[in-house]
Amino acid sequence: MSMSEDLALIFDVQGYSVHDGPGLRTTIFFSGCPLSCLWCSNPEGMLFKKRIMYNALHCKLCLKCNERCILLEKNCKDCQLLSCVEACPHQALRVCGKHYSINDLMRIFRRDRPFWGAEGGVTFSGGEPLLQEKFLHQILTECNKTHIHTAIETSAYMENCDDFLDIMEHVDFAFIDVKAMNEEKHRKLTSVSNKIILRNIRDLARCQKEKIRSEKLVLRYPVIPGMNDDDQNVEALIDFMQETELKVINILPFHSMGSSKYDLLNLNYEFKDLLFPSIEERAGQMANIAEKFAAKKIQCFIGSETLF
Amino acid sequence: MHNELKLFPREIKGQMSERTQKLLKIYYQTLSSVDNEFPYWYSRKYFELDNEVAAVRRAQALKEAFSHLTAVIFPGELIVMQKTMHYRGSFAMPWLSEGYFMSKEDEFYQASLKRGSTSADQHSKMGSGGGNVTKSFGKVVSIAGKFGIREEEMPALLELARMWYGKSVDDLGNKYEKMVPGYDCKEKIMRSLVCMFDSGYTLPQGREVINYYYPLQYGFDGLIKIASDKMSEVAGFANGDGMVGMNRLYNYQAIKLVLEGVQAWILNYAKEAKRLEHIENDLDQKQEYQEIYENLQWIAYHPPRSFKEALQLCWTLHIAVLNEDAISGLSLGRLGQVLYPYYENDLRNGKIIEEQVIELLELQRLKFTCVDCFASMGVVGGVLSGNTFNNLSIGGTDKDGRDASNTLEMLMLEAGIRCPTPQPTLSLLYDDKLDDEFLLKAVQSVKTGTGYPAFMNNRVAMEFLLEQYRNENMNIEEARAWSIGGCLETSPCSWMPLKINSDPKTYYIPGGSGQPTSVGVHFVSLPKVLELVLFDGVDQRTSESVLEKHNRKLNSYDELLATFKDYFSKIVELLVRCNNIQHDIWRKNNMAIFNSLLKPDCLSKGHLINELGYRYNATFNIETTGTINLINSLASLKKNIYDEKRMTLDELKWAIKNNCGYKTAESINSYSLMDQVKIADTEGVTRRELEHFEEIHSLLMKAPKYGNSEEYVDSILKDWEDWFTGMCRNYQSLYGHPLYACQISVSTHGAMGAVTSATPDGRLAGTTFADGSLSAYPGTDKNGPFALMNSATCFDHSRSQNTQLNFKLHPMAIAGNSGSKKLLELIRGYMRRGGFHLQFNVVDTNMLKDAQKHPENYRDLLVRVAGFTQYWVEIGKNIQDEVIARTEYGEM
Amino acid sequence: MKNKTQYHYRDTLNYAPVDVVKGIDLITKSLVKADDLAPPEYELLPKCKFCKHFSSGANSNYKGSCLGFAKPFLAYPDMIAKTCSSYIKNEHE
Repeated sequence: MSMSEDLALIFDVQGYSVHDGPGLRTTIFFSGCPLSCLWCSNPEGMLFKKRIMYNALHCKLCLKCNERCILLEKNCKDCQLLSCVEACPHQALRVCGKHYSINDLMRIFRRDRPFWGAEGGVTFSGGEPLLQEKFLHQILTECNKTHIHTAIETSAYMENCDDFLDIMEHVDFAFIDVKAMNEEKHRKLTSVSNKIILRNIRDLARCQKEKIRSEKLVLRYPVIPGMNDDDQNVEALIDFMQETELKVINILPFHSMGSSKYDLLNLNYEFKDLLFPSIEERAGQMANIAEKFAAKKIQCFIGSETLF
Repeated sequence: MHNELKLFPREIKGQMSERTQKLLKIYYQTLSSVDNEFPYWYSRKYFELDNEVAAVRRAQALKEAFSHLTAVIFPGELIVMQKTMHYRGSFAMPWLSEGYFMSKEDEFYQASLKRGSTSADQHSKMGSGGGNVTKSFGKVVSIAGKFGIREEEMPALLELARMWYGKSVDDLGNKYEKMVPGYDCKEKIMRSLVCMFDSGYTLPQGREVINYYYPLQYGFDGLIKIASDKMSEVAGFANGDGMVGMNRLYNYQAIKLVLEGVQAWILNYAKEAKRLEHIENDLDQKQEYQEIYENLQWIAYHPPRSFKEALQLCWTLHIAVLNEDAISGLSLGRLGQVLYPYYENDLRNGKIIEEQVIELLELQRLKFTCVDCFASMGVVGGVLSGNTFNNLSIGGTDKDGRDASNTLEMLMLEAGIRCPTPQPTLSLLYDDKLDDEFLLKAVQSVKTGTGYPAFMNNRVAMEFLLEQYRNENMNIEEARAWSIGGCLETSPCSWMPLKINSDPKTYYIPGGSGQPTSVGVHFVSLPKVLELVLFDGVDQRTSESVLEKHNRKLNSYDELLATFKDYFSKIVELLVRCNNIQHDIWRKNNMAIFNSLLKPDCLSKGHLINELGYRYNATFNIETTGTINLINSLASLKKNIYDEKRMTLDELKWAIKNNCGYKTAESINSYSLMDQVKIADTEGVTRRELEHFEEIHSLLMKAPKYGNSEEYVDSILKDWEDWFTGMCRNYQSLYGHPLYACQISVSTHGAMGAVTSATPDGRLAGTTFADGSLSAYPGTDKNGPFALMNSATCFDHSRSQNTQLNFKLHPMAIAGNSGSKKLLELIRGYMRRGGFHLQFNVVDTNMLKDAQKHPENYRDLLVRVAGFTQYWVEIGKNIQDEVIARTEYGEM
Repeated sequence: MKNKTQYHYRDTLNYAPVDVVKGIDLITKSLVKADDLAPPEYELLPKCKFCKHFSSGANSNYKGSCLGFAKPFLAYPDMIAKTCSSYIKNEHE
């Protein structure tokens, strides 16, 4: 699914990303995602459309937004005109999601490139970049042409495996999330099946093996307390990695940094009232999991420690 | 620049020594203390020698003062001596200025208020914590807003001050600056705080690099002999110079006298050490006193033989220069490269080990931290925030262009990590040739959160120096010797050939060879000048007409900009003339003698600072504050009024007059943008008006802002820089050299922001300007750090003495080894693009906790995580708590 | 020279003034208050108020004159005279 080859809907552009690949990077966050992870820290990118963030703290209830609104039925849900935002004098409204052309992005890359250093480059994230595959393919090609190092953070959820592999051909580095090995659990946590995700990873791993070093692909396992942190999941994941001969995994301790954005989007954050295990407990848990991977000769990086 | 100490347990490697800890503990409890010893003996001798040749008269007075200072040594110290008897001591110099420490009722104080020399005081507040004595109590009187003096000494101080009435540089300078046409306007400029302060009588020296070479090479006796021999050589000879050739005799005499004075001071300390050794019972302490005695006894006469002796001598020289004049920003230069030969020799001969050296360096840090500068509150609080800017430079290139960093500098970084104190701050002179290990060690230090080292661009500095000092024959080799003076002032230095002990090798060590910088025209508030432009010369705070009406309609952006430049030029010209006179009076009666003899080429030429004895004299500059608020304001005016015509100039002015519908910062007692409160429609303003204000304010806020790599704004910045850096060279200092641009804010962005109306960029009245010169206005850099750096490097930094960019980073962004490497990459990227300066504030748990309690101080704090960036203040408390906890855990 | 009189710490020789209100007793190494009384045997610190040449002022407790050099000049009682070449202890103390 994509708007047109020429434009992509992107909700954020971040410089000085240090956890999204080697060196210093500029990260592009694509709007829209086929998954709906309960813990998502970028809820504003979940849907493939522009979203409004409303900050009650700044709002003075002047209702200028209401005055400016041109919808006949004031049904905000599907509105993409968002004329109310401009009208707010108190910066209580913000749009997440803007259209960028290939040229727009390349301009940004040219601006940032002097600061990436020798190893840095661009990371495509989101949301799910694969959702706007045509655009993604184009921008990746442009990057390749200009020798910009490319990385991707993806769920690998793409129907057509050949298309998936084609895109990955142009990617120098990939982080792929595996939220849960068990199909049912995966649906519960992300609202989609993990079948095509696992299939795509397998195929990719096989292609990789035939060509280059395995550091090009790093699996990511976000450890969500009470959801996917059980022993069976860990073991299944280890088995999967052994089967696909993948050697590196990055386990991510859960964080709720994105939770305030749920309020701004008027969405419900599942974990709002949950009591998390303490820092020490979480550290202990990470260490235990890491040990299990290490025991099977899989390189395991925790959190921000990366292989860079 | 630095706040009081904070301890950052996470990334510190190793702890400071127990000895340092004990002495640091005393520092934490110490009050800034003033006494009369130095000014007493100085004044007594000075008035006795009525009519003596000026340089000799001053030298005699200095000698009298130095040789009478009471020596006090604190148990446990290894490096001894301090400016006065107190741990954190300083004293008044009424021969420079006496108005500001009088009581407010006093006529002198009232007089100085009128001429604006103390107006900054009224708007500067010292932090009431730490060692500041902000209120009188018990037998202690608070003076100049921060210092404590015994009531038993106060009447004598006032009496001493009265002796100088009409004779001080302040008074005498003022008498003559009144002769500058338009002088009344200058007073108004000072009163309205368009300009922050005069330096001729407040801080006539500093923002320079000291030179330790001559005493290291020759020793005191050696130098006294040189002076004596020279006296015989030059007596009666004009040497072709009919103006000042004959002065060489008196100058050498003066040099000899001051050397004797400082020598006597050292010997008094040696005597005290011996006395303490005698009465001491503890054997270890006894031994330490003995060693101190031997060190001092030796260096009072001879060149040092060891690292310890050299370190002690350099410290003594530093405080001797600090005592000679009111001076802030006397930087150490590349002390690590100066002391390296001694260190290396001792190490090789087994006389010292690394751990001892680190401890000594920690103790040295403490000594520098105890240095106070007695100046007026407006200067100390408003400009300096209590800091004295003893800056230690590391890195750079050597005489031959190679990496100059060394292992001693690595130890200095280590000492800075183990003993985090405000002084000396560290400046790393970045060059691509520098060794990675060294650079990564510096990054480690940055990660502890103390804010040092800052990074300065070696090549950009060299380009600046070669251009500015070309008339004084600066060449590439000399340019390489540079260091930072003060906090951020590129200062000219030279290579001096050092020989130690019986080592046949000649070591070329760098040292200062230039006059003070950041003298000339001080801190002109650009947003305030813009306010005057908009309101036809009238200060909106006082309603006083500061400048003559320009009577222009300002119908176009070009006309507006031209008017701004006119006003700015008028202000600069007037200030140059007045400051030149003040400095001229200073140099006639209060010339530096000790500092002069230390700098090439005074000793060889026989001329002191006042007679162009220094190698580099083209050091005077023009400082500005609030650059980014100016640029953002110009962009907003251009867009809203001239390009898109969304409002008229009159509407804007009306909104500014009414602070865009907000209460004044003063009335709510907060100068932070976050706290500003709107006027309710019950308070004499109609609903309609309030709405209109809102609309206007919203447009002002939405106008393009610097820091986002937008051509619209960046081009305005570039044009300003090109014009400003060029026009400086049209003005001459009293020494006959062109001025240049200096762009740092120190702390003026607070004090000057406090008296400025709302500005067209949406900033509200009384709130603080953007800091530095290139930091984005808090909350307005929305495109990330690369875009900011891109904006910052849109013009040639080498046309200015400096630029300043402060960055806030979350520790997660630079965690671990890979984090260090990435931070280094970021620095490299900026340096390669021609950025001159970068400084990092790494925010950690302690700061986050503080940010929770005082969010008003953390408006611009970004918490950056994988995935998105969020302003700290916009995160709810419960999440903040979680983040704090997470930060401690160290993973995201 | 031993004295039976007790002096304030700030008037004793073996006191290192940390600041205007406190200092270190150099014998015991403890932090003490400047205005507290030191033990009786503590040696006196030369100060103008103890000097023969000091002449107190008519109108002020804290100002006077020094007659110890060729030209008389302002002096104040609390001024330390340890380094003064003209200091002569007043025997009336």
